[in-house]
Amino acid sequence: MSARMPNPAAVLPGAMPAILQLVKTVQSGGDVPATTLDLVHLRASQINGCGYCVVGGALKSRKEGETDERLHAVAAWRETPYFTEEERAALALAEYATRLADRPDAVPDAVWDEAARHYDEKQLAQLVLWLGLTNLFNRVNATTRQPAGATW
Amino acid sequence: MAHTPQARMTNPAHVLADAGPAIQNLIKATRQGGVDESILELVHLRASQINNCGFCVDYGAKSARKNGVGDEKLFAVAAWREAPYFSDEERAALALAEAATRLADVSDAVPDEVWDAAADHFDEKQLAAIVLMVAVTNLFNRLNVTVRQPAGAGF
Repeated sequence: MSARMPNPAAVLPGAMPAILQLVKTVQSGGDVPATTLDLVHLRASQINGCGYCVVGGALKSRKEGETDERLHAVAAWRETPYFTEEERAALALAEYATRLADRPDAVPDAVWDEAARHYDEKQLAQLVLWLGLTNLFNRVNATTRQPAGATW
Repeated sequence: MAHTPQARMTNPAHVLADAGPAIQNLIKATRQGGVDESILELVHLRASQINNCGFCVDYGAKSARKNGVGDEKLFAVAAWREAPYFSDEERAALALAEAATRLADVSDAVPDEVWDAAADHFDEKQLAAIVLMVAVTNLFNRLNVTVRQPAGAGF
C-alpha cells in the first residue's frame, strides 16, 4: 500500500515544528506516566483505524518497556486484568473523546468524573491534549494513507 | 431561561504552557497551502458540527463571517449536499472533511472516491492544508467538547 501523497505535516512549512512543540508540551506538562500516554495513543489510533499510528505506537511503547501482554490486550482492556484503575479511567476517557462524531453527550459525566477522581487538573489537561493530538495524527495519517511501518 | 453551561475545568490549552502558541502555529501552517480562507472556515465549521462542539461552531461561524462567508452558506453548510450555494471545490473539501472526521469504528473511512474528488480540485499543497485543517479542528473539538467549553466564552 502506498501513500496518497507525502505527509501534510512535511508539506506545509511550520507544521512539523508546531506538532513537535505540542508533543513536548504534553510530555513536559505534568506527571502522567509515559506508559499511560502510550496506551491512550494506541487505543485512540485503533478506534480511528490509523495503521501507521497503531504500528508506530506499539513499537515505540514496547521499546520503552511496555509488555506484549498489555499491548495485545489494550484493544479489549475492559475485559482483561492487566490495567490499573488509573489506566482504565484514562482509556475510557480516550475512547469516549475519540468517538465524538454524531453523538450527543459524547463524553458523559460518569467517564469524566472517573478520570477526575484519578487525575488532577494538570494531568487531565495532559491526557485531553494528548488524545486530541492523537486524533490529529490519526486524521493526517489515515486520510493520506501513510503506510504502517514507515517513518515520517 | 438560557442554558448556561459551566466548563468542567480550565481549557487544557491554557493549563499547559506553550499549548496555545503551538496550536496557533499549526493554524498558521494551514494558511501556507494556498487554500481560500473561506474554504478552510467551512471545513472547520462542518467538522465541528459533526463533533458537536458548541464552542467551536459558535466561534467558527463568527470567524467565517468575518472572513467573508455569507449567511446563506453559514446556515446551509450542515446540509451542503442539498444546497445550491457551494462550488465544486467547496463540495469536494467538505466531503473530505466529513469523511476524515468520521474515522471512528469505520472501515475505509476516507474512500478513494472522496479523496480523488478532492485531488481533482486541489494540488498537493492545498490538500495538505485542508487535511491539516480537518485534523487541527478535530483536535480543537476534543479539547473543547471533553471539558465542555461553553459556546461564546473566551478561549
